[in-house]
Amino acid sequence: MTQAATSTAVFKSKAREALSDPALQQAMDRAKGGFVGARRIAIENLAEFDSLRDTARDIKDHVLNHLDLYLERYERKTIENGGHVHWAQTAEEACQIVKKICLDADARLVAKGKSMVSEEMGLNRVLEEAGIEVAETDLGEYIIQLAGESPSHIIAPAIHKTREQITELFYKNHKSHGFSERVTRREAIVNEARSVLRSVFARADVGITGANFLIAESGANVIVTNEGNGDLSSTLPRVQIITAGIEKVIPSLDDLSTFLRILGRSATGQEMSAYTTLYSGPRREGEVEGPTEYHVVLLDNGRSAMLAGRYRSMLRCIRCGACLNHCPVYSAVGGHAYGWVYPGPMGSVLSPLMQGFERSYDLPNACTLNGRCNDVCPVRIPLSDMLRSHRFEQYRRNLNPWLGRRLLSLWAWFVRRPRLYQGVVALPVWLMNRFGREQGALRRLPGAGGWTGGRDMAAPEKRTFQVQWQAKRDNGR
Amino acid sequence: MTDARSDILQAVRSSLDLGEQRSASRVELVEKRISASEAHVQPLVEDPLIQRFCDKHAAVHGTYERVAGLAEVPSAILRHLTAKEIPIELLVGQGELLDAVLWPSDMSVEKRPATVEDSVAISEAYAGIAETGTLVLLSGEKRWTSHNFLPDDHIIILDSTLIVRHQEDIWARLRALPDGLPRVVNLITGPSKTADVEQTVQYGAHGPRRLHLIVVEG
Repeated sequence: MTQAATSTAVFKSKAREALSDPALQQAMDRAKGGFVGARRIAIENLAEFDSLRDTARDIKDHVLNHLDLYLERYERKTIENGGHVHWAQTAEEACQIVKKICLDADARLVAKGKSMVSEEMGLNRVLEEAGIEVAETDLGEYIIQLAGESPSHIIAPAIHKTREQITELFYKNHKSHGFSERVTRREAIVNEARSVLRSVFARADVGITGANFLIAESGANVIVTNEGNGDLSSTLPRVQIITAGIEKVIPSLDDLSTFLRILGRSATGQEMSAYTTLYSGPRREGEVEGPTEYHVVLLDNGRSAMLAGRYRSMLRCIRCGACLNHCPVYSAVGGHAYGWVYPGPMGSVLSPLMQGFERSYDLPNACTLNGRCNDVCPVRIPLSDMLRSHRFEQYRRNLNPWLGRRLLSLWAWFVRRPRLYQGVVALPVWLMNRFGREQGALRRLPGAGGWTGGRDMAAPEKRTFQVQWQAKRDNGR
Repeated sequence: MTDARSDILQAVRSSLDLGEQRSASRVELVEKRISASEAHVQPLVEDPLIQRFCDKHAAVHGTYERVAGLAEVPSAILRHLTAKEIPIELLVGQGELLDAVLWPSDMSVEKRPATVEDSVAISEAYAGIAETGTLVLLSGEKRWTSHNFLPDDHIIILDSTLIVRHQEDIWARLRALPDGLPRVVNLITGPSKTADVEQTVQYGAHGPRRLHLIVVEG
């Protein structure tokens, strides 16, 4: 995996590359609207959706207020089920724990289900360096593993890949599996991956998945998938490992039902994903299948610190991807521009908190504050407010470029002098009106070629806001 | 890793700014929140439940047949597989209905876990959820989870009286089991699928390509 080599510090240059990458733009254009439309239909069909969101938010807030106790309770139940619970403060610690479990089990091949936490950990590289073969089994994850890339979407990791690119990847990598032809039909592509990955499931010693939820009531981990690879990874290998952030715990099975009702709908527009499974511990007496060892690795990695301040509600996130799907910036540049495993609005909030503000300067600024992410978030995280908080924090820490800070100070000085301000803005408003009057828009604008290169600039109203406001007040008197 | 454990719990507690950290009242609150757990907001699910369940199952690309009694199950399976030209070599799980089925001698029936070579599995559902057309399958000594994911064709038998309205109705029943939750609880809603190639749905990603339901009534 390549996440160690990538960085959240290079958003601008990566975004520029992304905008001029025809294959990426083709893939993003194709994806655009699919998730958004499906979600809208699913929600129109569920009158209770908004009250479910409120309930889900309240459940998460309650858990976060008592997170220590819910973690202890979850751990106790998991141990009662015969499982092992491991705690890791950092991504590196979590990787070492998983590596040790694999080495102790003499594992040669690991089958992985999709897990964003394992991406956050950079787990694959650590296992591979220890001589363990790692096979991603979610089709999207498998495709990007072949490409040597990281996911560009948290639920559709290969959303940036065109069918032609997948055809070439399979052609290059599947000859040893007896596939020597280029497959171009979608069905044939899926079948070829199915066939290749069956041998992984049959041979794997260890299965690693993430967890959508951890249930304190019973000590179950819950995975939600459509392909069935997560379940094969959990069922066939002799060792089962679950990697999860500490915020994943919820109180009870009834709480789970609330989250399941909003998760699929927000993510893909599904009422239920094909497979939702609750796993509780290793193989029981009398059973002849299922893992003989069951391990859960609970990762902190900055989460306990997030609990303290104004970012606590970010820990409600259930990783549905709705904020990505509805973000105009994400839709234009794709996930890789964000430089780390979490892209889009939720990534721009999380990356500075997990990777450091210094390394993620551009992310909170790559946002128009349009607020669509807030509107669609199933657990009502005020994402764009948090991005604005990040900007304040950047200013406070003196991270903004010198010129930007100077211009901002100059602007502050300027707007606090109303007479001067009104006098100075009157001229450009008059000029823009004069030249844009005919079409109501300006094709070109000196000094704003970056804007007018791709679209027209709307001509301003004839009178400035302040003049109109004054007139309105005079009328009202 | 006891150190990491106590460090993380300590970090959580200091972030929460708790006065008395593990106060009896907080512990009691949490335990009570779990033991007194009940359903929150539930969507309206209209009667008749059996048809609603079947319609929802069909909406996610499942197929189904309603039969009048247990005796019709083998012929229903035979009809389904013959129509699709699938060899009649069945892996069969366990359940009150399945255990009582009299399999005709010309049907090959095996009771063991599935391998990647097997093509058809027959399971019995613990319940059906009308809300979403979801089938609930439990693991057990002779209820192999591999049956639910490896074969190309998965056929599930469901007693129509076990169709419930909402998901929470299942939790209530599972909590009442003598050993609590089984190791694996599968909530299955339609056959396996993926949209990872150009965001277009393809069935049969890793799990069954086809999911067929036989609802046993009467």
